[in-house]
Amino acid sequence: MPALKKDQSISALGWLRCRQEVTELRYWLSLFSYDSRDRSLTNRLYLIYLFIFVGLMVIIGLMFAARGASQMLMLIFPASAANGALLLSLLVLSLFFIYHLGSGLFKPLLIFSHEDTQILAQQPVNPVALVLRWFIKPWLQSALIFSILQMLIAFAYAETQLPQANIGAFFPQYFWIGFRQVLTILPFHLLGFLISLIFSLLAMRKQRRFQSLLPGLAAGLLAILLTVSAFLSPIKVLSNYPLLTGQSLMHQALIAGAVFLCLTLCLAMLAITAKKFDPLQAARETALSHQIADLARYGRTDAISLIKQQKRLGLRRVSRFLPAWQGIAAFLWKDLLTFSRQLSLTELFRYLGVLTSAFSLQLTLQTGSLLPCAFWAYLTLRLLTPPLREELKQWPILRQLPLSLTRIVAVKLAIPILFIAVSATIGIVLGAVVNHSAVLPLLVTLPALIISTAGAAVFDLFRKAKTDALSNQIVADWGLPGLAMAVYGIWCPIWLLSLVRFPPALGVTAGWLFAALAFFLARQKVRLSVRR
Amino acid sequence: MKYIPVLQIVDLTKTYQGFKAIDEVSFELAPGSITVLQGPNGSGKTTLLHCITGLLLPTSGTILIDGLDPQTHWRETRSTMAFVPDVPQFYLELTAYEQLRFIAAANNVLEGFEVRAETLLTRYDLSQVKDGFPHHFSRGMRLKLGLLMGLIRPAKLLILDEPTSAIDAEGRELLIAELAERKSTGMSVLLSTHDTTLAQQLNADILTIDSGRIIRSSPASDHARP
Repeated sequence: MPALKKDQSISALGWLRCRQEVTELRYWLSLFSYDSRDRSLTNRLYLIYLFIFVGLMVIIGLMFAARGASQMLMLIFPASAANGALLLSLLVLSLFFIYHLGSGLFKPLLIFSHEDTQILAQQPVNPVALVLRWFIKPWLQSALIFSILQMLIAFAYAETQLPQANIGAFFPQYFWIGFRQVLTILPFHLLGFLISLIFSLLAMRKQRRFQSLLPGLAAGLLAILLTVSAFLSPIKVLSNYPLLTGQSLMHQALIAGAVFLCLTLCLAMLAITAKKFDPLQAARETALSHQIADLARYGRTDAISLIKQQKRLGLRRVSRFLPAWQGIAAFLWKDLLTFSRQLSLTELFRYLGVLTSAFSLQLTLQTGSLLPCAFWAYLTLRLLTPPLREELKQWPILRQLPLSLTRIVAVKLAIPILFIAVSATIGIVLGAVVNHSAVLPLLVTLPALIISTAGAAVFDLFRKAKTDALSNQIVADWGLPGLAMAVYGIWCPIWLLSLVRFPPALGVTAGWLFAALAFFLARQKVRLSVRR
Repeated sequence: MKYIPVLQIVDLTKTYQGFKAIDEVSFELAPGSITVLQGPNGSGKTTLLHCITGLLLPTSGTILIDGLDPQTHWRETRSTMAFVPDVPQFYLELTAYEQLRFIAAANNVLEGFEVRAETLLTRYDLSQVKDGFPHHFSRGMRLKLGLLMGLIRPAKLLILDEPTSAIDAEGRELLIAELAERKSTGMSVLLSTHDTTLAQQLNADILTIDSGRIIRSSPASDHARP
């Protein structure tokens, strides 16, 4: 088969990119029950209706959100809402620029999938054409969010200027102010994106040796700063902020010309930088991001966290900890290693959540509220079940060890239980200090509450665990029965503690009885699971 | 001394919602023997191995490992048997060396582990990557590591599911030599494979399975190499 020429390759890639964009659009439309395969007239009409309806809903939603935003605007900038709105607009612009520049320096802004890599590796592709074609989608995605935020700021400003009683009557004015604001500031967003892209390509070429990029980066940032300062007034003019009226049409035309010139220069610089762009290197660096985005679209959170964990493990230095612990203690050694290597900020936030919910439990002990109990149960289940599920996925290994499953489960839960106990104790003590209440009743009941929740977690996981599924690494997550059991096991003793405060023996005893029951039920389920 | 087969299967049946994946299968393995389980895709090889290793519960029939019922004597039978699945499983956060160490530690056989592990890792060309995570390995390397997890602890019966499916020619030769060596020490091996020449190279007995039934049993002498 004859090889494709460069121009043929890029048109093939352009076609591929177009297909990808259409597929993505179809995915978003399918969320609104639009079937892209149905070519009937009614379906086409539905699409038009959908665009109008969603567009109007977004604008109306923004107009309502603008009410709160305008109050904040007046609060932060009481002297001049126009200056406040302008400052906020520029702040959003700067944040977007910093985000694009920052992420672009560490990984390519242009994302390629594994499938793209296969095609790119086989064709002589013109890198300039590729960059110019590939940057449109990420820019449009960013521009959409940016425009919505800018529109919100403009609406907030309009809210301070127009009579608030009748939004409907002033709808065209709202829309016009928002539309003009977006039209005015969007070229600057594009400018920032192009500059970020240029630096991203340079960073790739220089193998991320940032010291070699610093002079250029400083010059670029200075240029942006000067540009934004120079265009400060035109933004105001075109946005029709009242304190800036009086600028001549000639002035506006000059400014628009300058913006156009800047964009042209940036595009030219991008084309020059893109000449040495290596799409395969970019594909290698971004294929994972593409895969994560794809999985996120279908709600595959388990798969995403696995990929992220694998990536994190690859980046960390592996510490050696090899104690001579044998038998069931080997699990403790393994779990300590696992816990230290997978500890993330999200995990720490969950423990912080346990602390705050225990704090609330102590504060509301006199009323016996259900809400803190439910929150505590939910967070504890979220902390206890993942390590257990991960362990059960290793069923072929577990079934070969001369250790009982009940003991494995108990050891598996030991580390998270310890951390939950410490977090909850801190929360309870803090709550008692703030509330000047007795700390002992809840503190004595706390181990029972933890056992009760752990029992509910184990019961719910093993309720659904069958050997056929476990052999295929299928471990169902906890569900509503587990949550209900955990909430009930916590709320009943807390409610009794609030009901009979002196002496608190009734609530404490109930807590321990529930714990014993949950423990018994969980143990039974674990024993039964290996016989199903 | 009374002869006790290392593995004895009597009328084993495994049914999935009315479908008989294993249909009244009976056979036994003598100590120090190698048996190859052959059959087309979907014939029930993996299901049979999963039933023997306790990953699946048989619908009916008897399994005895070294004369013991694995349901009642699970601790003893698990110490007797090692299983290497066709897709080995690993703990995400443990390095290759730690995976082996965990298996040895959980089986209470840490004594002499370092020497055993280094020997096996060097022999299978994994010594250089022992501090790496298995998810960064190639499929063949993962299969080799899975095999080492089965070999790192002493066992009377080694069960392997498609052990040569992804390893290179050198790895295959190593495996053949390893199994022959283990056989000479009295270990029995039961392995499933599509590799028709493997049984001959291993001088193994062959069990042919189709539609969940053993349709042919040929002793090693029938197909021994001249």
